[in-house]
Amino acid sequence: MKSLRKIIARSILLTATISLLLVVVNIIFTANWAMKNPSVTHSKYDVGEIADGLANIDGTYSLNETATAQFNAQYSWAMLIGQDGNVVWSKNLPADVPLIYTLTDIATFTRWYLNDYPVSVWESPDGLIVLGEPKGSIWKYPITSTEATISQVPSYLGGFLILNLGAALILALLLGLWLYRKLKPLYEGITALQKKETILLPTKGVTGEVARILNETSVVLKEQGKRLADRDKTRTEWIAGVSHDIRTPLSMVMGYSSQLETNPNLLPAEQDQAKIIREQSQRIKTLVADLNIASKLEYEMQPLHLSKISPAAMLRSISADYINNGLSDPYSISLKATEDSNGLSLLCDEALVHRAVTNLIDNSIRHNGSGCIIDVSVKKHPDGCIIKISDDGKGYPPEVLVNSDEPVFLENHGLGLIIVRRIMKLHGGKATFENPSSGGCSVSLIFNQ
Amino acid sequence: MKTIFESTLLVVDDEPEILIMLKKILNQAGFSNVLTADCCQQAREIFGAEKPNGVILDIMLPDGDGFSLMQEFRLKSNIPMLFLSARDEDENRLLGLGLGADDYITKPFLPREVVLRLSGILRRVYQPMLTPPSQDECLVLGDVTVNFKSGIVQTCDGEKTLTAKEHALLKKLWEDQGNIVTSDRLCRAAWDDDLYGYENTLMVHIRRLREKIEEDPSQPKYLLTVRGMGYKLAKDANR
Repeated sequence: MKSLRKIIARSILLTATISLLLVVVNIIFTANWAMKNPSVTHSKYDVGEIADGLANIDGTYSLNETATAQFNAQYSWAMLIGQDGNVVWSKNLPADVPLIYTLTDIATFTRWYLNDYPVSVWESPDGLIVLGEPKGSIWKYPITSTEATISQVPSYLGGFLILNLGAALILALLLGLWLYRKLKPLYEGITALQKKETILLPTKGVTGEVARILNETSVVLKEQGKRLADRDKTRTEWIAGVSHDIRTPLSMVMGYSSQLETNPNLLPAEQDQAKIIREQSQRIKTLVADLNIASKLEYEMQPLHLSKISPAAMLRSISADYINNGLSDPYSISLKATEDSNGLSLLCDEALVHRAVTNLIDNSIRHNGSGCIIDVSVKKHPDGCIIKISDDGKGYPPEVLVNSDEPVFLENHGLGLIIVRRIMKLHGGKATFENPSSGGCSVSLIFNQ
Repeated sequence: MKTIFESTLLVVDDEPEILIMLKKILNQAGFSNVLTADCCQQAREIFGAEKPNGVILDIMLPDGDGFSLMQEFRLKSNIPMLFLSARDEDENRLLGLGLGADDYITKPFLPREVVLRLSGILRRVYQPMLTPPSQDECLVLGDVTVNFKSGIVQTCDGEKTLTAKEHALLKKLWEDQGNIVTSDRLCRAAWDDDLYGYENTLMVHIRRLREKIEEDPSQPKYLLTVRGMGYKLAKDANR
């Protein structure tokens, strides 16, 4: 939900920024336009200057050069209305402009238009100078306002800006809220999708289409997950079935070869052969059991039977079993469990951890044909405990020492080490393999609890 | 029945070859009365008619499963039963037990495994009945004889009495004579508790026990320490 809030907050902020930016852009644009466009202020050349350029020399009026140039640039005609209302001088005067004016006429055209000609006026000693521009070129409208109104213009402008800002913010907030309401179910749906839950979002409104697609996706994902789980289950069951079926014939092979091995009527060489058959069938037994457990661990079909155990007691029991079962001379096993390690307890699947430890000890025995000293130890570790199995044999091949989290199949090590890694992963711990500089190999089973 | 080998055994398995082999194995081991059944129905009939002294039961049977068959038999009799299982999954049920099975073996198995386990449970159940009352349970270690019934240690120097804890410890070691018994199991036997906190107590009791049964307690010949693991009662070389 946090990220959705973040999205909404950002969109509100963005909307507000955009509105503000629009206001600023408008102001800048308007100011720029007003400053660059002369017709707006209509003051390219001062009417007064042109008027001043009209000189009366002995009753004859003439415009000086500067004034003429200015006049030509902006105006189409000009005239001087004398104090009696008659036109005393004119220049380019159109035919439809009268030559006599009453006070009313003058009052009217100074405010509005003269026969639709926009005009500017200026007083001169000899009367009123009128400068005309072509029809339809100037929009002219006199504005009258009270002093109070004019003086309030700056504060009105400020208020207007603030109002704009406020409106933009409120709109953005409302929009954000609306968006939040609409997106919330979608967000929840996607979160549920991630957890592989089936979702059923309402498919009405603006987000209905997206909701419908999400609903369908959840069904598809569910089906896919089920198909995958079914396939894994089938595979595990198939392996379990094969391993079950192979046990009966293997029982016969092991049973009879073992009988032959001790049959006094056979020659020693024949007894030896029977012994090899018995030993190899025991290897097949281990392989089948490994394959079965590896497939179950792989597809997490093996439910964990968790219980609190004493790791030190378990290691004592395992080590003693090896010796009691006749671990022969070139091999020896010793256990180092400090007194305080007796107080350690470990929440784990005892059978699986037992399995991991015996796999490692078996590994040491199997890969060191000329014998080795196996050391088993347990010690406390900040978040749990470490069980260490090491030997003084020939050490692990480099591919085992990679210590990747993903179990890799190693040709000469069968499934034994894969099972160890899987078991540790299931317990939220890990197995690290190393060849210490002092020789041999060492495996640490690290439990974090 | 004078020895456990005279007991009547019933083996139930759906595979005829396994039945033949098990019968041979058991016969060779000295069990002469071995009956076989390949389904629950046949097993029930034989069980009712012959009243066997021990049963070996396969779990998967064509007309039912070994678990329920065992429970059925348990209602009628308390004889020892041994499970044969072909699935690792069964192991969890068997371990959880409470089913009243005495032991179990996973297929494939070695003949001596079956014989050892079966003799073990038969001896545990029938030995007290088979042994004449005059012959008390005795442990002989050189010149020392330990009578578990009276709790008295007979030495050249005279008689010593075992305390309850010493008795429990020595008996546990004797039951597994020749093998290492872990400190945890000893502690469980004597104090019915985990080892943690009893390490020194256990050591003291073992020392006292050595003083009673060993000629030279500082250099024990019988009650041996296996460092890091526990103790072992060595088998008497003369026996």
